[in-house]
Amino acid sequence: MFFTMLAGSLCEGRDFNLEDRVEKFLLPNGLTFLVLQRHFSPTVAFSIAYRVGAVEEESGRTGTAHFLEHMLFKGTETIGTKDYQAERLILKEIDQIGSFFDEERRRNPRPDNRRTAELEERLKKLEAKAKSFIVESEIDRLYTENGGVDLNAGTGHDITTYYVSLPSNKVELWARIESDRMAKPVFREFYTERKVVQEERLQSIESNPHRLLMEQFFAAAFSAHPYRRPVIGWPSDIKYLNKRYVSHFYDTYYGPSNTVIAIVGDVKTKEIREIVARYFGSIATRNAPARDITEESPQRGPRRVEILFDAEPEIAIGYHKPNLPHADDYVFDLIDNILSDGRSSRLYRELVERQGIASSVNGANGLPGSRFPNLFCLFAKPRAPHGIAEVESALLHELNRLREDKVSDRELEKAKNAIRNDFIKGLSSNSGIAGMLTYFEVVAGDYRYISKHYDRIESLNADDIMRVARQYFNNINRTTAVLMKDVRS
Amino acid sequence: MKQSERRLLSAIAIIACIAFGACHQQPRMIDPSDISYPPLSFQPPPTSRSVLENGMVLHFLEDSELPMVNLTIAVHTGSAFDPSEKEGLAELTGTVMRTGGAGVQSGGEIDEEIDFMAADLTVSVNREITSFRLSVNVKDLNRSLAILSDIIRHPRFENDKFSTAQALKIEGLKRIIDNSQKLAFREFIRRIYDNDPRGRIPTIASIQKITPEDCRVFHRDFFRPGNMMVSFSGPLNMVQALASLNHAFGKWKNSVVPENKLPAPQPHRERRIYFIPKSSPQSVIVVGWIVPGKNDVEHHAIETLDFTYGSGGFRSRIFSEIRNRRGLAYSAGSFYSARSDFGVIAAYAMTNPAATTEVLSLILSIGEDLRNGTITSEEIVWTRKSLVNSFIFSFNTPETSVYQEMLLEFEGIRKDYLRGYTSKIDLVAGDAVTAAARRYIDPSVATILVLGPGEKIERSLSGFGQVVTVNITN
Repeated sequence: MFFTMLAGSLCEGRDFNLEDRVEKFLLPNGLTFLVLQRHFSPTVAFSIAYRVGAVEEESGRTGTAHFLEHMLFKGTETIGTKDYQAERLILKEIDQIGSFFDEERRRNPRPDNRRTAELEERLKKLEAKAKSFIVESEIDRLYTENGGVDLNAGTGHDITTYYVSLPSNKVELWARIESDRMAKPVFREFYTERKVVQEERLQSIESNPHRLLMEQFFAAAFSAHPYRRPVIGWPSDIKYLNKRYVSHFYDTYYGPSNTVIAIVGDVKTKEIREIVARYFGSIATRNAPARDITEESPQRGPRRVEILFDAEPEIAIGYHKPNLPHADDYVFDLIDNILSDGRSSRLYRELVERQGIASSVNGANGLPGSRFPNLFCLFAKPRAPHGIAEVESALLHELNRLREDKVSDRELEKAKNAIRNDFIKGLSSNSGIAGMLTYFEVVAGDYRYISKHYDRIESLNADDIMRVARQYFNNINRTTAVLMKDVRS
Repeated sequence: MKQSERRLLSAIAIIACIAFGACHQQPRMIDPSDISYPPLSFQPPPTSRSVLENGMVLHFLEDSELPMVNLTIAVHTGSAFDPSEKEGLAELTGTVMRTGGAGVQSGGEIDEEIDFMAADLTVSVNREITSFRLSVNVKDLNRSLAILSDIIRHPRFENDKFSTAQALKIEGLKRIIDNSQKLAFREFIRRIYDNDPRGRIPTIASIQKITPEDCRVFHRDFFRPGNMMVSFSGPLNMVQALASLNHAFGKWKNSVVPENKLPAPQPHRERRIYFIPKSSPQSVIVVGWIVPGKNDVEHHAIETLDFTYGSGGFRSRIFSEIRNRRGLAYSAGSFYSARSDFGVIAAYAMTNPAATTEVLSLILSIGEDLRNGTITSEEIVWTRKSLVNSFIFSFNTPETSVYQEMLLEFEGIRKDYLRGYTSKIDLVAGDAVTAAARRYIDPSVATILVLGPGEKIERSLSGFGQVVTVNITN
């Protein structure tokens, strides 16, 4: 596929055909596996992806998908406990008092402060009692002492993914832990972790001007579709994250038929098949959940939001567009590249270097997710003394150029080269490949989307770019968000 | 597979479960500690060392899986070599070498050609090392090496590109105030390396003083073949790699190598507390010490100490107490960053302003506990297993494998550091960790930096000693 010859015939590069190397199989319960053998080092990367994210949350319950991801690190009925049968009774009591506590705090018109304090105290005591049964952070301990690295998870609007890499002789440990937490997780330390997520929001959103801008930008661009919600959750929802709803969310969306697992590294597929059948095969089948997701209606005019924050200014501009695998989505990948990939890209050259009005410019195709129609976005930071107005007008001018003039053959070829090489670079690490396989299997429905991606890109021409630019880059379809200082302060 | 087919399979699975009736029963789970694992044989991949015609040292590893070459040229220079009052010179020099044209090409022409090849060519300037990294399809190797060679040997420092880089750096300095964590860690570095060139931090004024001529002089002083090394991995053999590199760099005459070794910084002898007032929804706390580096006999004991203190994930003491038990932070932990002859160990946490002094007290008291010999044999065994078992990940890609080997020689780290690592970690005993804690994380000589809102924090910090308030003005 990518046959190459070094000038002067130094050596032949070898093809890397993903489809020839990935072995895909399903267990009878619907769990999908993608295995790719790579033997450079005796290590293996695992990625478990659930086809669920913030879009599946109900209104008033934002942050649940992300919080569930935190809870999945708290152990199972056999991991993280000294005596689950005894612990279970206290956890039940905690659930009850915790829900009374939240109910009281939310009571309208005002809570009974004495009762709230009383319940809080009881909750604290019960949590202290539960601690005596807990073996803290046991999943982390087991992985870490067995040489696990990159133990982490990520929640997005579309997908929730759990990662870890291990020495390749420890596959069975992974299967033991992950099959157990897929089937029987225990949501212990719930209320303490709720405080941790509040801290996470302070750290990652409230203290971070760019993330704050993004949050308000998506909330403005999507008026109905749940892409308008922050993955971490709105502050008031996080405060009241509810155990019953988290459990319901898990029951609904963490079934094997909603799950894809990629295993990449120094393994043998035959052995993998045997181990995963043994550990994951007995997990009960659950029907793929029905999803009632509100669709976004076509935008009927430009939208603009201003966020006042004590930081230097930033701007975000977005246009609604179809998601993958729509034919136009591939064209947006090319446009993204032409506008903002590399120092010779149009926006960098024009705004940062020639005009000197911006300190950074970025583009992104497909935010905030790819399972549903999404946005093509541009982000920029003005360079003082230049302001938002100049940068905004220059960005719009560049978009207009795409509508008016055809891109040159060389520019098109450069963008295609970049997309092809980005794919090859993505194949350089086990964890990178595992993440890519699960992501596209979940979001596009087939990991082969990524291996066929370049063929589609290759077939596009300058007319496609002009057509798409004309169709989507118009005022009616545009949302603009601006972060600026409050001049009154 | 289409969704509909998958649903069909799920339906078949349900029928099968009903038929056999036992699918909903999980088998009895083996205790994870009882799993026995096949032995794992591991030897770091055999990298080779060679020397170019001009004396540049090359570390090489052949890897033919992908048609990509990754190479790094490391140069002994960086911000610690900035002249006083021209802080930022090393960074501007590195940046404008990459952007400001080289040989017969303008900066714009180089950008265009590099992007057309879809190559990555980046420069990073740290305190004592400046690195040029090239990642390119092997078919474009020779052309991209020719460009890189011009960038390193014949940079033009074009005026317009210099002005852009200078303006962008100034904008970056203005914007760092918006990022509490970056700002706090930058100021921590300034304070921990007090009276040491490593603590030189650019300011708007120092950047404004720098001229393209300063960059030319800095480049002439430090960019010499004997002052740099190369790490290289890709689908070529050693002879081919050496031929390509010699073609690009071989004729470059080696000249006198500049003074490139700085004495190690000195540990502080008293506690210092700095407070940065900033209206922010979260406080940032950093507590640190200058400690020995990788060539010291206590290095592995310090590494074990750091792992237990805060860098060993959920089970490490800081993370466990501040995040897991009290829910006071999302990020909390420690790090030990070591060079050959010194290192820095530091603990940190971000927390809501009301919890600032509680979290600072916890960081200090957890350190005190470790000094009081509370490290358990379980912690030692767990740390040992963790560090030894995860060691193979230092070599999980060809690029990192060969870069690490190169770095040993580049930084003057003892030769057996990588290959003897696991056996050295295995020998670390609890007493050695306690001794290291007593010697190196003494709260009475800690450098403490707190960034957060309001006078209230400042007042409560005075309970920890005399507070120096730092108003950030760039």
